[in-house]
Amino acid sequence: MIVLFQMFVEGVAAGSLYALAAVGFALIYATTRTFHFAHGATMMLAAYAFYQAVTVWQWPAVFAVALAVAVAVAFGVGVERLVYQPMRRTDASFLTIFAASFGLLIVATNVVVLLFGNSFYSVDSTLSRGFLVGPLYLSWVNLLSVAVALVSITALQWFMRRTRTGVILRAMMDDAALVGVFGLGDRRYGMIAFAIGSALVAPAAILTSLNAGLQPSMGALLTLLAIAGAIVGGIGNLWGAALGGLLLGIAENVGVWQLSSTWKPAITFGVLLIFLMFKPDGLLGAATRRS
Amino acid sequence: MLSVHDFHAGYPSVPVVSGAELRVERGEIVSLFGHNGAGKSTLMKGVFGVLGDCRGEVRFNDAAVAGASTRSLMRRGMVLVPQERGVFPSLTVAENLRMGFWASGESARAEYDRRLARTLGYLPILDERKDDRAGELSGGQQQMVSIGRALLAGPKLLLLDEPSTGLAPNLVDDIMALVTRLREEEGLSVLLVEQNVGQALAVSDRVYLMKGGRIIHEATPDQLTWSRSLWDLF
Ligand SMILES: Nc1ncnc2c1ncn2[C@@H]1O[C@H](COP(=O)(O)OP(=O)(O)OP(=O)(O)O)[C@@H](O)[C@H]1O
Ligand SMILES: [Mg+2]
Repeated sequence: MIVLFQMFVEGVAAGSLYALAAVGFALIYATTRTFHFAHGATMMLAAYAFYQAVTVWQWPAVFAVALAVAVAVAFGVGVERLVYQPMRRTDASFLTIFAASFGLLIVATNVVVLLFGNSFYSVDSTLSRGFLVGPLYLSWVNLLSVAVALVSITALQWFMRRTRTGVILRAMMDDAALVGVFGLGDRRYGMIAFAIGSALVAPAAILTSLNAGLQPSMGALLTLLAIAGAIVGGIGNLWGAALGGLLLGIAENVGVWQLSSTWKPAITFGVLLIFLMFKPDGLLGAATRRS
Repeated sequence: MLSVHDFHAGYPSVPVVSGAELRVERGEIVSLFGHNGAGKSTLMKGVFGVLGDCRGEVRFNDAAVAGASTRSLMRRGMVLVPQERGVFPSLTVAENLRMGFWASGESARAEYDRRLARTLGYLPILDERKDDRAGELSGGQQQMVSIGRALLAGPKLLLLDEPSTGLAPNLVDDIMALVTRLREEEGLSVLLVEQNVGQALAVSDRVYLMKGGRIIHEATPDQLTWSRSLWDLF
């Protein structure tokens, strides 16, 4: 029983990071209608930048974190500006843009393999240690994951409700063409969505590096988790995506109770499949999708 | 206020409007009638800069604005209330209204408060529902949101595309009454597209008939009411 509870705790921590990645994916998708398959590449690049800064260049942690966030935002915004926007201008189809995004993920992964090789790296940090609360072991990374997710999602909520840019982004989620009829949602807003969405994978990049280490395949895996979380939550609904990501983290950790942890992806896609078959609108999709 | 000369508009490789001639004087309510697919919405959207390639001459407030962006037209005081009604369903009524204000390029709080107070004076129902999501409102109320949002943009010329589609007859009268009040009290000029020809005629100063992408006739409401031969043109 304690073991199960321990796994639940691990699940909440992992799920917090998936939640952020899923929210980022959902924000990008809902505002720009881009199926940003390269979302995980953003996370992978940020993670390797963080690793390089901390262990190779021996930068102080704050600067390494800043670099990771900067790399994430630069990659996301760069891809939007240099790849997606030119494609949208030529009326490229949804599928064409998806294919380009898929290609980007593969190229980015190969670049990382070229630079860092295929092997596993880990970042040593006191944060991966922890302490016992009764019979439960809590690591600092896990606590930090939950805290960062809570703060980021609260901040995003506030931004989307209280600022002009946030309200316009929400209007774009409803009806981007109508925003255009008001001469408001120009391409800057797409780039803002990509900047925010990409920054939201930086916590996953950094904390996963500390917790589980780095591998080039981490990008593709996170893409799938983010997409699955967004679908489970109800595609297009930001807070649903957060819930979906959290749920997947819990499911895959609790689910491997009696199994080897190599089953995690299978559990994620099991959950996704169940939702696609029985509740395709996701957890919060139907409640907000109208007209 | 608005004059359109030899205007052509359409969609990529679908020409719709050809050689349109039309004007709206300051403080005038002008109606544009035509069957489904005549090109009324296309003409409005073309003038408003929403469609890509349009040709011809458009003057607004004594400035040549053909090819100008929607953004700059809104800043000059031309505002379209699109046919599709088009509220942002998950935004609150208040947020929908604010979108109109932002579109006008204004940002002063005092100006926003002033426009909001005036708008809510015309559309008191929006005050009651300002914190509700626009998607939860009835069709008629959504139309009020759409018009209210246009008013928050501080218009001088309103392009109203079928504001009463799908509304109960008494609501249609309300909308026509509102259009007249806006002209009297705000000095607005209005270009109105309506299927409810009778009610629109009652508030219009002049009327254009449109068919097959062309403006085929200009008339006064009286001429239209009494002349069978004009209707036969349709
Ligand atoms: N997005 C579009 N792409 C291509 N063709 C279009 C598009 N929208 C409208 N059309 C075509 O343009 C023509 C004119 O349409 P428009 O909407 O301007 O007519 P309308 O007079 O406003 O009709 P209604 O009374 O039904 O609103 C129609 O033949 C229509 O099929
Ligand atoms: Mg129309």
